[in-house]
Amino acid sequence: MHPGDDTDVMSALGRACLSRMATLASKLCDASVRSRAGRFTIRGPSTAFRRIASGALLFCALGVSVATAADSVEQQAAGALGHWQIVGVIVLVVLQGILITALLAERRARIKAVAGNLEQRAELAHGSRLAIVGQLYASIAHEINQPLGAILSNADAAEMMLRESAPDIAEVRAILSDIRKDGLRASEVIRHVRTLARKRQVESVPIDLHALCEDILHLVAPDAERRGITIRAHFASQVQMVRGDAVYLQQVMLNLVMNAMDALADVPPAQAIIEVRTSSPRPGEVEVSVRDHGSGVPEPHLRRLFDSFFSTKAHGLGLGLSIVRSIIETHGGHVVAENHPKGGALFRFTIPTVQAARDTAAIPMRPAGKAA
Amino acid sequence: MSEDVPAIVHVIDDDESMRTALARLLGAAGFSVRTYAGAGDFSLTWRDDGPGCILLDVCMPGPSGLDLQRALAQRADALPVVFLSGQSDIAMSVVAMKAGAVDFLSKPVETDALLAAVRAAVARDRARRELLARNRHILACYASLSARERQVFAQVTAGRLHKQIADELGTCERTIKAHRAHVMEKFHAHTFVDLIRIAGELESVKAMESATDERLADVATCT
Repeated sequence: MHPGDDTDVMSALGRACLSRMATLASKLCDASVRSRAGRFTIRGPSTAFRRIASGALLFCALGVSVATAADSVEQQAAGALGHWQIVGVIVLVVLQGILITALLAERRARIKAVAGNLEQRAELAHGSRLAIVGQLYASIAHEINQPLGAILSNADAAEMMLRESAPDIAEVRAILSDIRKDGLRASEVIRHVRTLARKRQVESVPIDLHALCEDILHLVAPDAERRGITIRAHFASQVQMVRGDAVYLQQVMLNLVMNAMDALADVPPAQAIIEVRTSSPRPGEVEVSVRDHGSGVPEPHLRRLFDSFFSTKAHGLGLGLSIVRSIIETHGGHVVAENHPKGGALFRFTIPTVQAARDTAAIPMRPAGKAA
Repeated sequence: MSEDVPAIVHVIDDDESMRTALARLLGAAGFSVRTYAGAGDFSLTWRDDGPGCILLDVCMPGPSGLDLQRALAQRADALPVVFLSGQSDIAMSVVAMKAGAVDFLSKPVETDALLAAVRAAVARDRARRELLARNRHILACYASLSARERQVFAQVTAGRLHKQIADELGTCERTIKAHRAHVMEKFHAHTFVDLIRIAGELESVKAMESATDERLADVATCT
């Protein structure tokens, strides 16, 4: 065999190996992290698998290189090969190493960026919840002051009764029981607000959607009263269980209802009505709609409502509805905004029911606060 | 109105446990208490049966406390209002105080402050009722005067001499003196100074009544 032929074969083999590995590595990186618009899921093989795969690839590369180098040394010993070829192979090996390291570093940076993005989303959702809690300050104060006031009056009444010569012990006992009840009531309100305000991990548990809606309507009731707004609830007859995170879904409801209340700011009281409705348009799916009787949303704004940083309010950040959409999509549903034919804006969102969620495993949720 | 009749505090609050607690507290403080779940409930069942006041929550389902206060302000027999609010802001309290509330308290309230406000409101209602009774008495006395006696009363209290009055009415001085004696008797006035004072009161009662009529007419035209 002519020595030159042999060298050609070897370098062709090296080139083929190199290009094959580069393709593999880039595929690995590309496939490993994919962020679909609006949905925060990490697709592709698991992290452990990816690590093993890249390790194996690295070893293969080294093996091929070493084998090539060994062949070259043998051939050199046989005097058939010049030392330029050895240098060439070593340079090849070094280049391979650098390429693989660079690809791995890039992949890590990308994972980090995606995780950072998810964290920021979760942070935003938390910030927006805090903002809502801030807006609901008056309602919350009312909910807490009511039982506190009752406790204080009851305690003083008991003290006055005990000062009498023949105190009515049965009445004092009733007072103590009421004090206890009101104490629990106040702490329940605080617990509720804390759940809403806390930074938290996303859960996926069965939730009674009607109970959740009622909770939220109860929370905003004093605020609505203060603003002269009537909220009407029309719930579908059967209990609707959905799977997801109660706090995030509460956030969605709060956001939609508070938006509706803002839309009714300049509307006469007789017309200041919000309708909250649940229905089951398709089997395995429940739809919640919030309709206000305000002036509706101008047509050009409708499409952009769910965009981040788009707001029609003077002091709005434009994040509420974009967070609403990402929460609903994380739950495997979708949300739309439209103008009701009879006036006012109508927001509808759907969520799969527990049964449907179990059948299709449609909720791509990840723990540890990675989804917004 | 004697002080020993217990004043009635009308507690209007949508929160049942708050209502019960307030009823107990005010009951222990010696008031007679009636409770209502809302402004509508109060409007339907309230009848004026003695001095007292209203302890009123602001935010309630249906008409708010401020709505009720506004509605009551058009009545002559309106009870004084003490507000007790779970969520109060400055604007709300300004509106309430301008509309004549005795006090604007926020929950949770110190019992001393609450009782002081309720007592002040009750005192105001008693004073109003006494004034009303006195005015009614004076008006009744005035109504019992004959036409001639009214003429004499007007002239006498305007400071004119008997002689001048007799000339103007075309009668003798003695008749005027007799009329004046009747007038004083009918007004239960012991001295002439008493009669002058009564004339002053009568003047202000009449002025007040015509003002109330005008206000009611204004309200009627507005609504």
